Amino acid sequence: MGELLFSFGYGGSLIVLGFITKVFVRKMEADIVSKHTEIKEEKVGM
Amino acid sequence: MIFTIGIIVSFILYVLIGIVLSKKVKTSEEYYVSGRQGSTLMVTGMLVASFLSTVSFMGEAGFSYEGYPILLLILVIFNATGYVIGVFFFGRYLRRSKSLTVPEYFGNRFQSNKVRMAAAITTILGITAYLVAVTQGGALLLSEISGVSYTVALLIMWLVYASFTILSGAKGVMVNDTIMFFLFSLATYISFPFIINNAGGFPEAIVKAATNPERPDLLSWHGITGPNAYMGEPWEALIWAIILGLVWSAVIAISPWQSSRYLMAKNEHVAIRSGVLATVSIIAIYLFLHLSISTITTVKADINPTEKVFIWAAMNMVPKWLGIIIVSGIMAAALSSCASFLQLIGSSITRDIMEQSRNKKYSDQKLLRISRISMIITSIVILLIGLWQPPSIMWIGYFAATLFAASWGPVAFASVFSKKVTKTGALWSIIAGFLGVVLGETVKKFGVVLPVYFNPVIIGVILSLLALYLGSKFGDISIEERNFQENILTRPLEDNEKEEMRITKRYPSILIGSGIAIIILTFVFYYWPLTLAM
Repeated sequence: MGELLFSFGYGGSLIVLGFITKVFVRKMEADIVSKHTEIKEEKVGM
Repeated sequence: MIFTIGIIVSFILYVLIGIVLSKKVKTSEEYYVSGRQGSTLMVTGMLVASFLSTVSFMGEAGFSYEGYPILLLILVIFNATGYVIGVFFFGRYLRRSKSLTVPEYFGNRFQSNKVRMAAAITTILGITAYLVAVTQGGALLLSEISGVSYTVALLIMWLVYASFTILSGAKGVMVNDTIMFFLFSLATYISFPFIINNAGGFPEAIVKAATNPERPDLLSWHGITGPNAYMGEPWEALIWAIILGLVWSAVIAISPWQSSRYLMAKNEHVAIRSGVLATVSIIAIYLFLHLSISTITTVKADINPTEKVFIWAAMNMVPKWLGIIIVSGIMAAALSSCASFLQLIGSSITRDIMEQSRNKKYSDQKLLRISRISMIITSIVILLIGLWQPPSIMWIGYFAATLFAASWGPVAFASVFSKKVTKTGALWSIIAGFLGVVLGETVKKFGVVLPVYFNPVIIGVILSLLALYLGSKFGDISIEERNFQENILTRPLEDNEKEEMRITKRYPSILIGSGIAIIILTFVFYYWPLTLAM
């Protein structure tokens, strides 16, 4: 049983890390959108 | 003889690269952080090469051979998470600070020379101990293979890594680390089918290892356990693997020889991609290395000391050409770690201690010259300690590495995310974590057996957290500290941000795809043969 869990868990840890990375990368994308919006608003303000 | 020639050829290549690149080092930024021009491949190479050393290919290989390959891989599951956690929660913020050393980052973040000095002293003490241990491991291997005395082998080792590190600084370390990364990765992957074939072919070799009367339970998840085994009962072995795995995860995330590699990344995207690729590399290298090691037990069960198991396989189980790649690969793993360690110690002595403590501001050329001189002196001190200390002190390497999890762990993450931590809290935390680990190890040296959940690192982490909390009750947080923290929390956008983002967006899928591939490989090369043995 432990051996079966290990067989899934060893590569499975990479899958979990993949989803964690996905969350962070999406947040980075959102940063870009908000940054560009900020820059546009500044230009309008000028 | 042929193995010695192979090693010498690789040594000459590393030194030549150091000489060529030394002519391109014009500024201190090039010497310390390779001009911050590291590509994804090079930063990945540096991360993995400075992490893997003789501790991995000799110490851990021996542990696996004695009966714990799967337990070690369970440790690696937790350990490898350190790259993704490290880059997202510390490494990328460290990179944004544009510091040349990690202690400099701590000093600027808390606007405190004392904090910078404490971080520099722990860097120098911890990494010097680790460097001596890894140098000695490499020298033992070199003297074993070439037949020269241990003293001569130590001198050769020292001459090779010290020369290219002193000459070319981070620039040479970056290129050589990448070459070394390919060399030991190649050695691990190519040797797997040859060792399996020599041990009886597939799947028989794995079946034989699982049913070997010399090592009952070798391929069970807990390895050889029970009243007479030194890992104790299965649950104790599991707790040990999880605790040490988490500690090593913290070491990967914040230790100076790992986190400082992100300072050399071309941009933040490169840092993140490198963290992802390093995770996949570590998981793959360990899987194939330790499955290979487990089958060696069926061919020869009495290799002594067990640290020599992979070297024995290189000389007795694979073709000569592959044996040369393996021994050169193990030497490369040792040399790459030594080079990174020496570069970090030299940088900290020059920039964090000499320049800062004397309130000096060196010109760029003077900083470059003094860096080289202090690195020469440092490397001579390391050589003398290596000659004077008895070799084979693996525990020192382990102690020195995990020291940073306790001494730097709490303060590193708090420096990014906490708005309440003061310079007093940071200083106390670094010192308390350091002393906690030293105290725990000293108690162990006097024969006191600590329970697995009271590992010296755990004592250090608890003391460090307490000191961080209590110390932050004192002192105020200055405007400069707030501004610095605000700056590192703001993500810089690249000129070609959309293009960079498009590439980085593929990386979660690379992790998930690699995970699926590793599950399939684990089932094919481990679980399926195991069911045949049941």
